[in-house]
Amino acid sequence: MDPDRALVEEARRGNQEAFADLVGRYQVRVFNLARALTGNEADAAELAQDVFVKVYRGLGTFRGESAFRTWLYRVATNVIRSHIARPSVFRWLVRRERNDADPLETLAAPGDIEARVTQRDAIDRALGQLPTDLRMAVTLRDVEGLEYKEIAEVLDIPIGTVMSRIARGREKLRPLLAASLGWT
Amino acid sequence: MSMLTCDTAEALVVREADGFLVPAELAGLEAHATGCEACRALRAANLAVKRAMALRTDAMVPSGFAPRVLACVAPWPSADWLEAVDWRRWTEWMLPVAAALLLIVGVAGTSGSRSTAANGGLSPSEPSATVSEAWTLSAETESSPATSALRQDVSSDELLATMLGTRVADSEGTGNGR
Repeated sequence: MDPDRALVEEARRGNQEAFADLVGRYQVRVFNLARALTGNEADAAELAQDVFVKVYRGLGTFRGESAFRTWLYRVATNVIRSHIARPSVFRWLVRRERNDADPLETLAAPGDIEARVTQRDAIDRALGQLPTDLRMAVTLRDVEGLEYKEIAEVLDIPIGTVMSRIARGREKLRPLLAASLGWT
Repeated sequence: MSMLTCDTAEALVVREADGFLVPAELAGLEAHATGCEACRALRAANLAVKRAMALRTDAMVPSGFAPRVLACVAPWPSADWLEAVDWRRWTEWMLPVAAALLLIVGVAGTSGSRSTAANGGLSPSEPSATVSEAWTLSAETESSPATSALRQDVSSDELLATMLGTRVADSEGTGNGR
């Protein structure tokens, strides 16, 4: 049973409060998915907003064959994939500027919260260097915690391919993380 | 000799890192990895990355995110639309457009100057020079202080003052004469 079904039905009838509840329920997940896949906070906010707007406009076409959450992730990965495929000149400049910073310098920053933020930045930076297909699979599993079957539905690929992409993605990610996190 | 193929081991490597392997599967994977260097490396990488990714904490959603989303899907303009507008997003989008417009204006300006120069050799400053020349030409036929000032190439303010002074002096002179 889809735990979001009642809210989805209400939102589909035009109930704004129901849709607001859905946004509240999933905004952290969608924003973090975009943040991990783009490595950029500003882009992530913009993309997450686009995702929810697309979801709202597409509610009429959602037939409930999959869980709302799965459908939401499918919309999100499509929106983010399009963004990754067509970076604007401005985003490219921003990304270059961000990549110029030495990750090891930022890791040395004191304070627990700051350390977590820099760790997240370092991880997202490493993820950003993976090929898109591998990045999607690893992020959906290791950042979002989706099950293999759900990842297969979201990405519309066989479950064997999911396992392979996660395995290979993690393998490629290891040296990138080592460089980004300052592993010896 | 291991019974597992590398393809089968690959899936087990992923599930092991995620903590889903049962003891029998784990034993099979270990047996395979002992004799397969590639799968051993794959296994080590998966375990290490899984541990590292657990360190990643969620980023906080920017403040005002939900109201902005709801304003976008509202059936009519929200009363607090000014708060909901994401100016950063618009400025980001408009930056390349602004740069392109500046480029176009720059190119048009350059080619415009060139065509003007080609048509008569006039630069934007030359019309005023032409007016000055006209003043000078007409001044050559007169001998008032104003025309003298023109010949001395004084500024327009000085010229105006001189002309007014002349008229005042003229009128005063006329009055005195009466």
